[in-house]
Amino acid sequence: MSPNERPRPWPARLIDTESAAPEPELQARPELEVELQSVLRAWANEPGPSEEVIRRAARQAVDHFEVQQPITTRSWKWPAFLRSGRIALALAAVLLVPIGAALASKLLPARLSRLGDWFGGRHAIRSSETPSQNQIPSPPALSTGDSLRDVVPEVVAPPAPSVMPVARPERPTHRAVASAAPARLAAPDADLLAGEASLVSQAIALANSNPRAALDLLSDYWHQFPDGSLRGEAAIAELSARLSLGEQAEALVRLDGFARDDFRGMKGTAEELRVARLELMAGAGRCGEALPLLEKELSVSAAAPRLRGRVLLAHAACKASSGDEAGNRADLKRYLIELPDGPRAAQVRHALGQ
Amino acid sequence: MMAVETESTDKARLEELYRLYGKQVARWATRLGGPRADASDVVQEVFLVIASKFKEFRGEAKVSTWLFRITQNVVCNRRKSERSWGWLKASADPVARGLPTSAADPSEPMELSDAKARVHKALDGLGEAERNALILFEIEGLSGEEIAELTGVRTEAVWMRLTRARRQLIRLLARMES
Repeated sequence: MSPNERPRPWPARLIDTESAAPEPELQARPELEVELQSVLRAWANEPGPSEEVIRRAARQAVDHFEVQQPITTRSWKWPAFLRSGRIALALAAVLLVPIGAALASKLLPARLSRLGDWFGGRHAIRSSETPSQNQIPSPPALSTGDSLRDVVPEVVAPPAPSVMPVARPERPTHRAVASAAPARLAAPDADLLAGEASLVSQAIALANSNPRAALDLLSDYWHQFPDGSLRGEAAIAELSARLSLGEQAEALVRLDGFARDDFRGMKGTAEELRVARLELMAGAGRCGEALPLLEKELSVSAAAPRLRGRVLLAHAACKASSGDEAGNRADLKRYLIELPDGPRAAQVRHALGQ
Repeated sequence: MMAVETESTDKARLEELYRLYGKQVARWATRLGGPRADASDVVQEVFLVIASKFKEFRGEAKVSTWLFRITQNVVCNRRKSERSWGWLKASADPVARGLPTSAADPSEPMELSDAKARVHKALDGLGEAERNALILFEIEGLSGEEIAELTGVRTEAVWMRLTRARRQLIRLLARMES
C-alpha cells in the first residue's frame, strides 16, 4: 500500500452491531439483521470440541506417526506429448515385434532363427482363441554347425499354447498352511496381503484429503492385484475419491463395471456399492433402469437401516423425476416411519411440510 | 541408534505441537467445517494429516500458519466430498429444493434452528476463501491482520474477501427470505 493511500477501515462485526446496520442491504431489512446476528452469536458461543476429543485425536495421530510409512505416490507425470508418444511407441512395439521376428526367421542364420520362431509362434498362438496345428512353431532349421543338444529340447517340446487357461494357485487355507510347509506357503501370501493392505489403507486415508493421489495408488492396486482380497475396500476408496473430485459419471462407470462382474470378491462391501450405484443412477437420470433395482433392494428386509434409508430416498427421487408426486411423498413418509431419527429425517420432514 | 533418537525426538515435538495448538486447530476445524461436520471426525482427520506432514515442515512459515493451511485444506476437501456424498446420500434433495442443509438440533428453538439452517446454506453458497475469512472474522473474532497472517495473504486481500463475503451472504439470505 502506498503512503498516500489511506487504509480502508475494517467493517464492524455483524455480530457486534446493535443498531446501526453495517451493510445497506441490511438497513432495508431489519428482521434479516436480527436473524443473522442471533445465528452468528449462537454459533460463536458454541463450545469447541471437548478436551477428550482433542486428546484422543492427538493420541491416535501420534500412534499413526510412529507406524506411518512413506506414501509412494508418483510425484511426476510425463508431459502430454510424451504420454501420447508412449502410447504410439507401445503400439509400434506390439506391431514390430512379430514382424521383426518373422523377418528374423527368414533372413537370419539358423541359430538366430529359433529366437524368431519362438517370438513368431508364441505371438500367433496368443492372438488366436483356437490354435491350429499350423500355428505351432515349426522346428528350427538345423545348420551343419549346430549341436543337437542346443536344438532338440525345443523340437520335442514346442512352447505350450498360451491360450490354455493357466490354473491360478489357490490361496492356501489356514489348515492347509498349518499342515504342509507353513513357512514356505504362508510367507508369500502374507506378503501379498500386506502389500494389498498397505496400498488400500493409504488410498483410504487419502481419499478425502488428496483424492488424486488416492486414485493413483488405486490404479497401482488394480494393476498389481486384479483379484486381490481387498477389492471391495479398494472399490469403496475409489468411489469416495471420485466423489471427492466431483467425478460422479466416472464413479458410475466403475460401479457399472463392478456390477457387471456381480461385485466379485467384494463380499463385505457389495451392498454399499450396489446402493451407491443405484443412487448415482437415480442422480444421472437412469431411473427407468434404477427403479426395478431399487424396488428389489427395498423388498430385501435384511438391508441395513442406513442403506435402506438411502434406497428409499433414491426411490423417492426417481418417483419425483417421473412425475409421480404421490409416490414420492409415500416414499418420504415411509422413510420417516422406518427411520424417524435417520440422518436426513429433518430434511424429509421439511420436504413434507411437517 | 541415531535414527531411533531422531524418531523419538520427532514424536516428542509432535506431542508438544498438539499440546500447544491442538485446541486451536480443533476449534478452527469445527468452525470451518460447519454444522454438518462431525467434530471428532474432522479433528481426527486434521490431526492425522498434521502427523503425516510433520516431517515436511521446515519452519519457513509460522507454525500457526502451517497448521491453519492444513486445517483449511482438510476441511475444504471434506466439504467437497460431503457435498458429493450429501448429494449422493440425499437423493431427495432435488425433490425438495431449497431445503436447509443442516439437520435441526432438537434442543434449539424452531425459529433459531430454521434461521441457522438458512445462514449455513447461504454460507455454503460463498467461495471457500470468502467463507473462511467471514468465519474467522465474525465467529473466531480475529482481526483482519490476524486473518492475513494465518491465511498467508495480504491484508488488502482479506479486506476484499470479507467485504465480498458479507455482501454475498446478505444477498443470498435476502433471496431466500423473499
